[in-house]
Amino acid sequence: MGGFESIHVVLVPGADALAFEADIAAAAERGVLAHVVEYDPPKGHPIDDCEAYYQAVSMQIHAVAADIRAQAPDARVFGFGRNLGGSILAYHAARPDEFREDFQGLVMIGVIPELSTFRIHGDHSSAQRFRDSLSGPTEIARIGDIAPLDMTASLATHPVDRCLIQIGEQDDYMDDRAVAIFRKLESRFPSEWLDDVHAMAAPDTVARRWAFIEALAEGGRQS
Amino acid sequence: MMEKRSIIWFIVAGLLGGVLLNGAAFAAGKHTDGDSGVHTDEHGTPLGVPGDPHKVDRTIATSSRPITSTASRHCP
Repeated sequence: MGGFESIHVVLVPGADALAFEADIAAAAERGVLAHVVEYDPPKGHPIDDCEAYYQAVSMQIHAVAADIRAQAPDARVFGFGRNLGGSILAYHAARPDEFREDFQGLVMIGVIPELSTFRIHGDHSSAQRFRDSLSGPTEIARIGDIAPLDMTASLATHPVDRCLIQIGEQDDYMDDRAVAIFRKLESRFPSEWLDDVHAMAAPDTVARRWAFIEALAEGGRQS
Repeated sequence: MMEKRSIIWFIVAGLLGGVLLNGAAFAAGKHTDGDSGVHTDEHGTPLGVPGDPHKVDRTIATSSRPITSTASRHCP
């Protein structure tokens, strides 16, 4: 059982709603309660309504965490965010209100470190489709407006020992710009480069993030 | 009588086709919004048109719908 007593994990999937099957199984093995946040894909204008969308999903994340604490006041709550879910979870943890206290630790899983940079410059089909979804050059020139929502911006003030970043070496979303950003981030945050793809669900990847929160939980118990 | 039966078969075939198309999108692991038909990738960007993953399918990429709340799920 180890150090998993009274631990809850909130799982925030990517916008494709890919299930956290391996993590749900890992939680069950350890006697941990897992909670999946189910949210709608983005709606509204991709730039102008982006922060409102992040806020709306953040409210859902907070509702899940608050419900856990209402039922188990001593619960230690950790958050796993995959892809867009990681970007939003980082945004949630950076909010200047009580929301930032929802989690004792975070794991960023396959998160594009700067979605704005990716969408402005990226050659990946997702970046090209994002530009294609805009009305023209004037809107494309405004993609930088969403930079304050980037994971790098959100983690700027986050406690460095309470966030693990997992990066897939076979992740085709991570271009040279993303790798350069991760090289800077890894000087601050624990970072793992793993033989994995964008979904980051390989057994070793899953085991490592659970080891991270177990270590955090052990540290929290001793302090 | 024959004409009436043809209409019924047409409706049944249409319904079955809709169910199969939604099932295929679900099996592909992509999010399909049940009421709007919006399809996105892992980062919320609309999916591409068949045969060209770089281009957005503007027939399904809506941009003016309100954000709606959804549930969370507890996994014991």
